[in-house]
Amino acid sequence: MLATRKWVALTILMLVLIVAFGLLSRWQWSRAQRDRVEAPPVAASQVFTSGSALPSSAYGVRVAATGTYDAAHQTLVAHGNGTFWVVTPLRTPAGEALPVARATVTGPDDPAVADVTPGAVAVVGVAQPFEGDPGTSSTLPAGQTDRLTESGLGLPYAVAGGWLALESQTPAPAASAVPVQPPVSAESSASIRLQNASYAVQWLLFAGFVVFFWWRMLRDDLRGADGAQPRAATEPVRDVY
Amino acid sequence: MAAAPTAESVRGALLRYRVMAFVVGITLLLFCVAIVLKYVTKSIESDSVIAIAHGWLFMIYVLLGLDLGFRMRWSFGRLALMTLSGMVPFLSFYAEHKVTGWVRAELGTPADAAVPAPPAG
Repeated sequence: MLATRKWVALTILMLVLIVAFGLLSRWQWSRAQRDRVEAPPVAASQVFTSGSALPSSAYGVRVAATGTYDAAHQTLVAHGNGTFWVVTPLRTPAGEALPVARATVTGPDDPAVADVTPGAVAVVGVAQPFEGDPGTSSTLPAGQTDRLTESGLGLPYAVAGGWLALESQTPAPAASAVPVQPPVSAESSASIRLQNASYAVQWLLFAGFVVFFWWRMLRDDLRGADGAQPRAATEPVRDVY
Repeated sequence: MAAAPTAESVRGALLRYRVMAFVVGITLLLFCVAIVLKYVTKSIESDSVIAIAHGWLFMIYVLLGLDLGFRMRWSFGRLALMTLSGMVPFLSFYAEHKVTGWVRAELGTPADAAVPAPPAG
């Protein structure tokens, strides 16, 4: 006959240990991924399709694109806290425009606003979805919007279904500017630290041991042995020589 | 009375435990040397090879220690002591010695595999 109270206690202990070991495993797993390396960029044509919204699987993907900036259709996106993004359409050879948030500025007079690199440029940035409509307050001056949307940019040509937060550009801009902090941060491929990954697996296995030994004690108990009691106290010494 | 530990099974479990306690004890000392080389003298870049090796060997040590402990019906306190001592340099060797003594005291005879077993029962 099972001693009910003992088994309730042992089962609770087992569950507590499983949860604790599971959390320790997760902690080691997060430590294993602490050096994340930047993923190499993919071509813009594989990520953006003009006229259709950026799929959520592409948010945060690092993208490379080439083209020329269209300085005439540049827009400032106002954040309402005195900072703006400078968003300049990049006309790609395929004919569509990819809005590139080049810099964070404090106003239309910031030197970074006019610092549009002429001629062919190659950019690398992080793919971002357009913000949700509606926006565009009428109180903003011309050339400004309060939401980064396709309609807010008001471009006269086909626009990709999202935008790029610029990370780097070749040739580099004339002066360095405050970069745009992307709302969706860049995806990165993890370089796993083997030592911590190994510990993470071991914690899971320790959780498995808990179940195994719990089952073994239960089995011994059901067979009529005296469980965790010291053996010598109650058992006949039939096996001892 | 079926689940009483047999001398045969305990002898095997004790031998496995003792071998692993020795291996883990040595590995732990090597790990300590590697830590000193990495952080104090800075003569090696990484100690992760020995850290990973110690991690897996320690896991096997714990498994074998628990196996022996459950066969002997030892208390949870004793099991915890056996397990934790495998993490302390040099203490693992003492723990192995102590555990062997406990088994011999309870079974009343040397339980080494090296000693030929008299007929049980």
